[in-house]
Amino acid sequence: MTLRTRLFVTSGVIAIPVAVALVLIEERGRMSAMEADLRRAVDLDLVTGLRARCESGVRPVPALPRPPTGTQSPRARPPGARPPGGPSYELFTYREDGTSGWFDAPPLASTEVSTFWMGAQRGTQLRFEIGGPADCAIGLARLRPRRGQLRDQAMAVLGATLSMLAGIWLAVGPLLARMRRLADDVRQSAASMYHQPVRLEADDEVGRLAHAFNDAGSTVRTYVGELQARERTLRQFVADTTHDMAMPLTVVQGHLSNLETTLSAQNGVTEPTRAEVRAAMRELHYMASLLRNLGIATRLGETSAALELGPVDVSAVVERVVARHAPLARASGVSLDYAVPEATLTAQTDATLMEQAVSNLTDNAVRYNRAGGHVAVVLDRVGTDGFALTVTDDGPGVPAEDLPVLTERWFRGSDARTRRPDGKGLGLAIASEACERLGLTLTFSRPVEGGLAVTIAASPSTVHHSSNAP
Amino acid sequence: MSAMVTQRMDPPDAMSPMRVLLVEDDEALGRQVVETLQRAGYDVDWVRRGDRALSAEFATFSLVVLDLMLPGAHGLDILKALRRDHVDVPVLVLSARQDTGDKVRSLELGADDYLTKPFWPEELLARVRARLRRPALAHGAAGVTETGPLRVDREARVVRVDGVATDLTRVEFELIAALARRPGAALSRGWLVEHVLDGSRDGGERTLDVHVSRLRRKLGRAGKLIATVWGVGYRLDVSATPPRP
Repeated sequence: MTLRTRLFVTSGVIAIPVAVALVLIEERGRMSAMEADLRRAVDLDLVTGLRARCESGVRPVPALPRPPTGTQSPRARPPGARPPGGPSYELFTYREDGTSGWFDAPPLASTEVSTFWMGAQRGTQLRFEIGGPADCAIGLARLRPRRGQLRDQAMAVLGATLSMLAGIWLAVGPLLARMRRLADDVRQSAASMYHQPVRLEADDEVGRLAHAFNDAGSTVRTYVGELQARERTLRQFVADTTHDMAMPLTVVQGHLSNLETTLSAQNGVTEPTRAEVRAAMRELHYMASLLRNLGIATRLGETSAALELGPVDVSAVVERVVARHAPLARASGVSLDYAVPEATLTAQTDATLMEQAVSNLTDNAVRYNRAGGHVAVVLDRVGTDGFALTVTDDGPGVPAEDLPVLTERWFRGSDARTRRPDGKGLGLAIASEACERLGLTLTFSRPVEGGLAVTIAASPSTVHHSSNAP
Repeated sequence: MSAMVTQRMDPPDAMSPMRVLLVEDDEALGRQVVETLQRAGYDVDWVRRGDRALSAEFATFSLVVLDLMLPGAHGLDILKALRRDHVDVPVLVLSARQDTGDKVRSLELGADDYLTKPFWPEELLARVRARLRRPALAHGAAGVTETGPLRVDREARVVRVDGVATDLTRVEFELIAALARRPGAALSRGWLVEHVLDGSRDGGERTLDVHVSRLRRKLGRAGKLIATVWGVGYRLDVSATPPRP
């Protein structure tokens, strides 16, 4: 219920009983006033020889003539006339047994004071003893109500009620309108991240409410600003750190790679020495992967990470990723092969995210394989517009029940893949999240020969291919 | 053995070493890259400052390896200047950032490829070779592939083993021709089925394997040059390619 409706209902609920009560109280007061008037008039008539007038046989018995109560102004009263003792009333006389000689006499009331109805209005009647013989034993004095009195009263009450409602309306209406405007303003202000203040119309309660809202808004803005600044700083720090670490890592990778080449070409180098170099290469490769994933995770963690879309040569992505993991594969005794279509396959996507997804899948496939195992990365055109990029391995595979939770961050398989905390869960989770952002579908399957096959598929609209050979 | 290892063995043109311009400010990384490229047989000129790189004779190089964060001038400005002068030397950009903006901008400004640090020397060489792949690297004359005892002439549709022409069916010829067109590269089963077997995919991969084993038999001692690549498909082995004249 809106405030306006509630106001109407409430004032109706209160005003109507109050009006009725007012009418009743007014009526009661009028009745007792009429009764008092009657008593005074009858007493006066009795004193001034009513009984004698009755016994003289004149019918109806003449009451003392007097002007009606309340309507007489002092100036209209004849000079010297005695002040009125009461209103003019109708007088009827009865015998001891309550019958009257008059054909139009009303039935005698049993109580001293009673009321009677005349149309829709009530009059007061008073029964009194005259004490004379025959039909001069009991008298009944009746005071008729004035015509239209009830209607006047009702109109007055109705008028009062209506003017009260109108008063409420006049007072509250503009207030309600301002509160509506305030609500609109608040909504707009919130939509502008509280940069647009709420209008202050006046320095009253509503104005103070608006003011309080502006204060709250500026607090929120300051707080959000601080948070954003902190997040920016942190993100910048991560970006700078990954950038700075990328340099020495590349240099060490180069040294190790050269060392490996030199060692494998030399005779007289013991196998343990070669194994040590290969182990160092694997660890270094792992560090490089972590570093890349750190950068990507920071990007994906942003609430409104904007994708940086551009035409991406997917074939080149595959070649790059395979080249990246070839040293690891060689050091691990895993054969890593790939195939790409003859013509360049280009997709409109985010190069870094896409490449990291493929890289993480390939990395996992190589890392969790055994010596003598295989990994294959195959890019195929699907239909005229789509592509499917599948990374297959013949490693230990993943139990069927683990497939659905494979992409959860920090998940690690329950068997051979849990040997050490190596962040595999992070790699798959990042691959999965990157694919989701890029509108690519990621599916896991278990080939019949064992191992794991992961496919990244693009819906046709994201791919634009050219026919020129690479 | 992987395709990458095969490529590693593949020397650039031994007659005239290709010149590579490296623009890199980091001393250690620069030395590393120079060494890697020199080992692979390239001549390397190394410039350490961006502003110095701006005055380089780009047109005299076969490839430019360009770092982005440089003292003196930003890598993107060097790229812009280079393309403004209509020099069409291939440019390989080295980026150390995990966001994509640098790469997208580089490609827009005319870079041909990029590599994100950290990388293995092998990754760098793979990208360099991909950029310098030239028609001369295709084996022999146009439409002809020679490896070991095998000679595939796609124009004349003739396949010879040790000089003797073999009698192949149409599908068998298409198969060896497809493999010979990209020597050393693995071709996926899916691609071969679609392009060699006319896309009759149902039961296609098994049919393909049957065709391949027949082809191997017919090629005799050259049959083993058609290597099965696990999880991928087939490849024409070129590691036994005799040195070109």
